Amino acid sequence: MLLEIANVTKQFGGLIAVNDVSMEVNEGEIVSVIGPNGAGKTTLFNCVTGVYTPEKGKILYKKDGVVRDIVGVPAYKIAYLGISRTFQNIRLFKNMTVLENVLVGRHSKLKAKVWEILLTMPAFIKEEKEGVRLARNLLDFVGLLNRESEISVNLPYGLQRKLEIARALASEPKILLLDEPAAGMNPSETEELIRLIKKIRDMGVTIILIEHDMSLVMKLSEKIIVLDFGQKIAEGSPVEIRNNPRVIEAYLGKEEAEIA
Amino acid sequence: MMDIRFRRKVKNVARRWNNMDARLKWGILFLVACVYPFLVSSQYYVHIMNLAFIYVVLSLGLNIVCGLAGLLDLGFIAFYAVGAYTYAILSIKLGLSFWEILPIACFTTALFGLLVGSAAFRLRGDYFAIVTMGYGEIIRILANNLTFLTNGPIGIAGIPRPSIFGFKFEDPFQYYFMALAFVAIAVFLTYRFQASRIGRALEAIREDEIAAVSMGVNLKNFKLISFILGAMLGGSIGVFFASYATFVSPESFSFMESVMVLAMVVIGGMGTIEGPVIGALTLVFLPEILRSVSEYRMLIFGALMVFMMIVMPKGFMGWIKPRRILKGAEEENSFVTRNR
Repeated sequence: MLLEIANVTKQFGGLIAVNDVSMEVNEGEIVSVIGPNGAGKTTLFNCVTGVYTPEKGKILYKKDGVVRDIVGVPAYKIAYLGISRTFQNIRLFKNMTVLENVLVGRHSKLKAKVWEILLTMPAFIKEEKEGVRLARNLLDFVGLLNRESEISVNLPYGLQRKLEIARALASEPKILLLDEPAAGMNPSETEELIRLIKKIRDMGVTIILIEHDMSLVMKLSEKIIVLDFGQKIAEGSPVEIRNNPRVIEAYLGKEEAEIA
Repeated sequence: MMDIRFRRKVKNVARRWNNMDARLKWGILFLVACVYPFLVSSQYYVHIMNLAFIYVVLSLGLNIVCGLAGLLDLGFIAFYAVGAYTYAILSIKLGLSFWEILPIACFTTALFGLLVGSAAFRLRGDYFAIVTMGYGEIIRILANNLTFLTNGPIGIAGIPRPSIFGFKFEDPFQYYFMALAFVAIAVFLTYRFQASRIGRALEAIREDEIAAVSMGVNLKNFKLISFILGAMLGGSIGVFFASYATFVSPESFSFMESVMVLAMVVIGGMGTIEGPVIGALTLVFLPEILRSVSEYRMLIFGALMVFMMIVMPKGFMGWIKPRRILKGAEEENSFVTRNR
């Protein structure tokens, strides 16, 4: 067990966005969270990354053999714990260059103090050089190497998605949360993304992803969790999920399910 | 709008300038600045340059807050005032020297920045801007009314001049190189910060707070850092100003001064380093150049500012190299990039 979400509930006034959801993620797995729009998938991500604090439940995270509850940990500290994410609506630092974006992603690994920067201490220079080297490696990894000095907002959409992934990887995370990485991509771009996600997993990063593109979900996931109206309605392997009547009902509606 | 060929020419020169190594670029500028006082005919032009240098440091300080972190600060001159009054009061009442007071003033302005910042950062956007406007005024009004300390509206006169190894700074020419040193240090610091984790974190905050947080940027701390750094630059040049003018009074620190510094940053181009320098030099020298048309001076000055904002809404540097913008202007930016 690397991450365990235990009976998490998140309410917005009268609306229960996430209702008593539990799930477990093991190291090295690719886990997908699917469900119709408004099912609470992104809210669940936001609970894990500290953007929201759930009203009930625990989020247990194992780091260096120690299990701790990360509910209530401020969002900025989550990155330091080794949980990194991308966003449903791309949130790049638009007017910064591609390389700078990745370097910001590395923020939690950089330790230079104010005076070290001021006095241009060797430690600071070394850290910067190392950071740039690693950032370039990552850009190479996602296929953006020759565009490092471009302003990120000028990149085509598909590459912006990849840059977001590179930025998230820059903090050397244990867990990578991908929020609809294939949204707006054409089939060939999606294929490429599938290969990329597999490569990231092979690097030893555990991946949790939200996705609507079923071909991607079915090809990648070891485990799928289905949410509907904030509740978990199913959990299992891609084959199990595909044949689960409750899932078909949630996606297609009851009558059609009966006909099928 | 403008003659295309002229624009292309300017942009070409600018591109070549941008591609030059930063050290070489600033080295050249530094050398030009070093020979400047020997080339001009009178002390008066040296004096104007000294004033311009004061504003260069101020706008570089404000640039950290506005340009990098994207926080609209309308009371920046307060830090300048705190620095200036710190020197005036400590040098007269306690007889401390310039070099002793400089670090003290940096410390007091940093403390003041921390105090104001930790209160103001509870708010965002326009509300934040209004609070900063408020503290700018508070400092001016305090200086006006704390008569026992600041001598009220009459101001403090006869502030001692600094000296170093027995050499006393007296005329603008002697002060010039000290002012230049302040500018050089301010440029260097901004450079260092911009290309470090701190500068990048500040820019990330400007671009997207939520994404910045999930990269591990502690919003409050980094906003405070930007405020403190800006305050220290403003405060240290305030010390220089007090020693240079040998007189401080509340009217030097009016709201209009804050607006002026902001205008310099905006006209030059926020978030760049050349921008605030160009902006400050332009806005100090322009009224001087226009002195020949005395009555119409401010009219032309105003018209030029309007013209600049129409042609180059992102400032001069933004016009050459579209890049840094203030928070909330994303829409406009995507429009610009689409139509480029």
